[in-house]
Amino acid sequence: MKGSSANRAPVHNEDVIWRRIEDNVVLIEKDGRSMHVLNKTAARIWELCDGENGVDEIADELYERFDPAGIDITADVRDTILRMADMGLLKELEDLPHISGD
Amino acid sequence: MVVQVGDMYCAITSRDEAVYHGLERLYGQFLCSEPADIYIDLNAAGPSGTGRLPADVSRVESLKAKEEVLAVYRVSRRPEGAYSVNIEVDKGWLNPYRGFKIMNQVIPRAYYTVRRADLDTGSAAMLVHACGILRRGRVLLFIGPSGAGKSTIARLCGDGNGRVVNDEMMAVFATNGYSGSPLAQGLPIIGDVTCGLNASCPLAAVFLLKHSPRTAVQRLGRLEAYLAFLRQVIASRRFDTDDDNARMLAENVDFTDRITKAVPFYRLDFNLDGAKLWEAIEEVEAEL
Repeated sequence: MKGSSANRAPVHNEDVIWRRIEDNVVLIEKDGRSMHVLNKTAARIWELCDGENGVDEIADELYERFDPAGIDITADVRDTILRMADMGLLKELEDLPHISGD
Repeated sequence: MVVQVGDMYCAITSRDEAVYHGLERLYGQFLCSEPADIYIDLNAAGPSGTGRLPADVSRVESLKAKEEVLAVYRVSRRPEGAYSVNIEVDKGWLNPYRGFKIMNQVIPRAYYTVRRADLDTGSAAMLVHACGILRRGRVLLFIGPSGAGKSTIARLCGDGNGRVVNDEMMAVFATNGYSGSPLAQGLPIIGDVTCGLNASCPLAAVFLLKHSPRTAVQRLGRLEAYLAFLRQVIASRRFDTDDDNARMLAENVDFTDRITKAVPFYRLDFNLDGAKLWEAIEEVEAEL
């Protein structure tokens, strides 16, 4: 199921320019002062933060892609998204849903 | 005088003959007789560099170094559409005895005002902080932050190792009209070693400089190349519009993307041993 409202589905801050460079994503804040490089997994999480996918959908996609051998990665996905939001890279997450068992 | 700046032409005038002739000597390689795309009138102002402009200017802006105002300017359009920029420079920054480095701000702004980076067609250049060395009909760019050794590379060039195109700034075209591959061109920019060679040649490779006790060359991955090059592309500040950081950054990002896809990048560990340096470069060139 897709995220039911914009604030439950993380979305990029418009003040961030980003480009995929091979496996990585480079994020540059528009004031030019800060640059961040995301590794392969974080890069995919970033790409999925398009305002359509909630945490569960993003975790499902990553599970299929990277096959983490039965490990529940939802908490890691949520932490990564929260960290990106704290850094101002994602729009404010007013109501990021708690994950199952959280 | 008319000065060639990449693929555009800039007319420069000054009431101060010493300034005019000083610039004419510096820009000798770049003087031409093409019709100008932009007209720069450059004069020394009072000690503060401000307060001497006519009251009716519609647009007054300043050139700064850190927070110090070096010059003020106003922009207008001539009847045929070319830009005309009147610049009054603090005397300390425009005299034949202390140098003309204010021109290193004026020339890039003039270029970007006329050309604006036309990234869709690839017909315009971006300007890059780099030392360009011409060897065997191709240009090698050496980049790095301030103090990384661009001028040192120029000094180590010497006889037989190539010609210094510029040790401060180069114009880089993402594609050239003939082969589709990037082209590097010298600019009338005042470096520590030279004011530049008016040459335009295919860009063969880019080297990221690093001082080291040993000499070594290592091919860079695209991510490292991207991060290194992006920091050296000069933002397209213009005379005719306010700075738009988002636009400038987007241009630099797209341009960096194209160059790092098209040209091999290397890390160059180097020191003052010029013989080993050029040996290492030659090994790379053999594989290009």
